[in-house]
Parts: sequence; C-alpha cells; structure tokens
Amino acid sequence: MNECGEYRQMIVRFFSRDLTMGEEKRLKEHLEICERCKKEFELQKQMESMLRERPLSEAPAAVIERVLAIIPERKAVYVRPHLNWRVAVSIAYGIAAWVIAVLSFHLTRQPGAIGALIERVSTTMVHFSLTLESPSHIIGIVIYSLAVSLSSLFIFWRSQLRRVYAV
Amino acid sequence: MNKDIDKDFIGRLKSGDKRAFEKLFIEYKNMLYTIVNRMVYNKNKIDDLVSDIFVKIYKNIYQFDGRSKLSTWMYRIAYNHCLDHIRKAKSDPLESYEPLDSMFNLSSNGPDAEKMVLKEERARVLYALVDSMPERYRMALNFYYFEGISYNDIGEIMGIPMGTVKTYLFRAKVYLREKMKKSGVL
Repeated sequence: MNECGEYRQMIVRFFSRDLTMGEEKRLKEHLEICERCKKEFELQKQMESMLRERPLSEAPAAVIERVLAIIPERKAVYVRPHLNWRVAVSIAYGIAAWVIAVLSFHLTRQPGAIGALIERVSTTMVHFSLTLESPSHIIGIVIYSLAVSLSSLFIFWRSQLRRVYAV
Repeated sequence: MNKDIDKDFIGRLKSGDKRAFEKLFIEYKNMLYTIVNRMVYNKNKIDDLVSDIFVKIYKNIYQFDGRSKLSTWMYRIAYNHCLDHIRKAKSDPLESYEPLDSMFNLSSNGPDAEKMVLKEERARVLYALVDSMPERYRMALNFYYFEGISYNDIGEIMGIPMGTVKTYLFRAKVYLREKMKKSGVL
C-alpha cells in the first residue's frame, strides 16, 4: 500500500472517531502537504454530513393507534419461572426443612441430650407443653416442621414468579 | 426522552401502565419505523412489522434488566424481528427483496450523472447506495448515524463484537465513497 493509500484509510477512520491521537496528528500533518488527500478528506466530510442528515421515516399515526388499541390497560398474569439457581435453592431449602422435620421426629423418640434440646426448642416454638412420650407432642413437632417447610417453600417460590402482561 | 427514562418510568412500563407505553411509542415510533423501513425491502409489510415490534416490546418489557439503554434494548428487538422476517420471507417466492432504489444505474458516468450536482440529488444517490448494501453493512451504518449510537451499543443490537462493527463501518464507508466517485456525484 502506498503512503497515500494508508492516509485514505485513516481519513475514513477519522470520521468514525477511530484514530489514536498519534494517528490523528500524522494525518493532520499529511493533509497540510498533500492536496489529493486534502480533497479526499473534504469528499469524505461531505458524505459524512449527508449520512448524518438523512431524515428518519415518519411512522403513520395509524400504526401507533393500532398498537395502543391492541394492548390492554393492566392485565398481569403470573407464569412459572424456568428452573434457575434461585428456584433450585428454594427447592433445596424445602427439602432441608423436611429432613429436619424427620430427624426431629426420630430424635425426640430417643431420650438424651439432643432429644431434650429439641424438645425444649420445639415446645417453646409451638407452645406445646407436653412430655416427650406424648404422641400429640410428636404430632405437634411434625405439624410445625411441615408448616415451616411448606410456608418457606411457598414464599421462595412466590418471590420467583414473573409477571407478564398478556396481549 | 432519555432524561425521562429513569427507574420510575421503567417501573411504570413494567407495571403495564398504558400511558407510559403511549409516551414511549410516540417518542420512538419514527426511529423504529426507520429501522424497519431500512431493513425490509417489501414496503407492504412495514406497518405490520412495526406493530408487531411494539407489541413485542410491551410483552417483554419485564425482561428489560437495565444493563443496557432502553433504546438499545428496543432496537435489538426491532433488528431481530426484521431479521426473522427476512429469513422467513427468503423462502417465500411471493416476497420481493429487490431494493426499490437500486433501480438507479449508479455506475453510469453519462449526462444524468453529471446533472446530479445538487445536494439533494447527491444525497438521494447516496441513500440509494446505502439501501442497496448487504444488510449487516447497511444496518451498522444506519445505527451509527441515527443518534450517535456507540460502537458498543451497535454491537449489542446486532449481536456482534465491537471490532466487527468497526470493520463493517469502515468497509461500508469505503464502498460508498468509491461508488459515489464512480457515479460522478461526489
């Protein structure tokens, strides 16, 4: 490529604001001494200005009226989300709550330190003051665990629902 | 409009506020209409395509996450919708894909070319040349001159890297300049 060929490319890139400061300086210096490239620069400038001034097409009012007539005011519907990490976490959380419920059930049937601790915690939380041996106490723990796990799962799941607007 | 597109306005759009959409559509109608008009040669389809694009924007606004400008997001929807249409229509023999303005005999250096000295005429030839370029060059160029959309945003709209946008622009401009000189109007 001859020297002017390189500057012709730089002229195009100049108007795309794609030159480094060094290249810009070199181009300026060249334009001062090369009449042909200076003419090219002016031609490019003219073309750039015509491209910039190209008017937009006028959209017919009917198009907007048509669209606004189609879309409803507010019609939100809920859809299930695709499986993503948030949904996976909510499912895992629900499963974990269930595991705790099952463990609680087994541990409360075995007298000992862990059983006593769980008994104290669970009886405080569900406001049952029944003894370990009481079947209603065990049912209480199971109901409590079930309620916690399902409500947690529901809250997580609900928070992940997306609103879409049906048209 | 840009200053109005704050979080509150986007919130209104996401909640399905029809007035907010009306404002958005009126603000961007010409821009979106122009994108479709410059992408699709079959002028009979333009109104339908623009309507479809607006409805698509309305239906999918909840997916707008604010990582790009709202205008960039909308132009991408318009661009992809037109691309889909072009791809589908290519297999339809009833669709016309000849650019109307390419009827000009741009390579002639005859007396007609010499008469085209008025600025309007030069511009007309230039725009006809732009419209006859392959879609990717044509649209890179159009987006660049619309409202000073950045290379990055053009890349996002067209789904191509920024470097490719620069290459398309460079080639398109060189092509246009050579054709304009050849036709004797520049």
